[in-house]
Amino acid sequence: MYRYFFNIFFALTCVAHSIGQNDNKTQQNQDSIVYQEKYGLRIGVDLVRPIKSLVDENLTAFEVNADYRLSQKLYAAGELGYDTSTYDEENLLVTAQGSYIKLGVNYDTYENWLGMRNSIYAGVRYAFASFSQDLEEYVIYNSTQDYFEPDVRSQNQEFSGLTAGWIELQGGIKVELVKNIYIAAHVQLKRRVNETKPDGFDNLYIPGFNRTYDGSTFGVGWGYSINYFLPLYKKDKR
Amino acid sequence: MLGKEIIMKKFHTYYFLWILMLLVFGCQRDDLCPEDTPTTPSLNIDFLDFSNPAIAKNVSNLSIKAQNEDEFLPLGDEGDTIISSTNSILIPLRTDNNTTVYDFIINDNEGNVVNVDQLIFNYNTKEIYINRACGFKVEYENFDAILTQDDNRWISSIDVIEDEIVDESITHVQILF
Repeated sequence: MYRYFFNIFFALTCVAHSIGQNDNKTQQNQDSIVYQEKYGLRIGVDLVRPIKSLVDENLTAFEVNADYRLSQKLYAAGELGYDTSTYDEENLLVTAQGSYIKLGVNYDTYENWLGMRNSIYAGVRYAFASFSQDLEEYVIYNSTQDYFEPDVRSQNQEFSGLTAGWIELQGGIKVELVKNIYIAAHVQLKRRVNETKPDGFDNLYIPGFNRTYDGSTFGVGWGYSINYFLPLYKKDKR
Repeated sequence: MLGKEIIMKKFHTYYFLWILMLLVFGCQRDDLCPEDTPTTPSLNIDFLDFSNPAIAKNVSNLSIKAQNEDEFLPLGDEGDTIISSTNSILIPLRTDNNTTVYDFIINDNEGNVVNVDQLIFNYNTKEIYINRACGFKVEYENFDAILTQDDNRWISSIDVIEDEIVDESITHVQILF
């Protein structure tokens, strides 16, 4: 009955989450049965990127992810991906492509019912991308005259050997839909810490980082994934 | 009690799925080039009195046409192609070529051509990246101007003041007539 109350309470407000969490702990301490939790490796594949790749001709992207449970609440986590994205606007046509890796940890903030393995987590990553950019077409910008024909340059210029590194904060949830199969969603806030810029140009898109903003090192992103949990061993729940 | 537990577990899962849905968002800022962004500079020409080069002199009934173009260059605020009572003009240079050739034409009050002088502008172009919305612009280096010789010129001489065309608010060329 108490769990009933807890759950409805939880559903009403996320802010009061921690209060409910503490109450739940008290409840568990009164139980004398030791419950064992599964530890293991969870591997997943991003769902959004392949779908977007089909719908949007300017994008081809793929990402796999994994986490490994280190302790009750801590997971080693990472993503590996490949990205091709085309920026096609009035004055520029640029295609960026490359791969990236993100490594870090997730901290689970959600106290589950016994036997359930859902997760609300906060994570941090260091991410690194290696990529190239093709400047396929551009227009010499001239707002004050239209006497001469627009000067369109369509000689392809490739800028290769570009790199970027950033710190990424993630927040997300993972829900066990059926046994050992999880569906997950997360949002990303990131800030570049190092970057090689092409000579006389800029990085418009960085694989894994997504689009950049002029005069800012911040970026955003999100993802949906489906994951499989591979149980490796059991450990007493503390 | 067991039945209720199952119902609540289901509710629990749906609740998570609901948050999952809320997490879906996309945000795309429009990439529009602001009007006030410094653009490819035009050539700034001042007209001076040849008998006293310290004094600005107004041109009358001037029209300008580039080589291989059909139209006359719009010079006035309303796109007028013949202007008078001005001693300073801005004209564009070709960004796709290292030379722009212009005919500077003096007309009579009825719009008939009186005298045509040809000016040749030579330069190197340098592409400068502005930002993702505006793309690239061009600046000009090693700028030079040549007045083509003919028997009947209305322009007496031309002086290049700046050999780098970067800022169109300063005078680059002086025409004395």
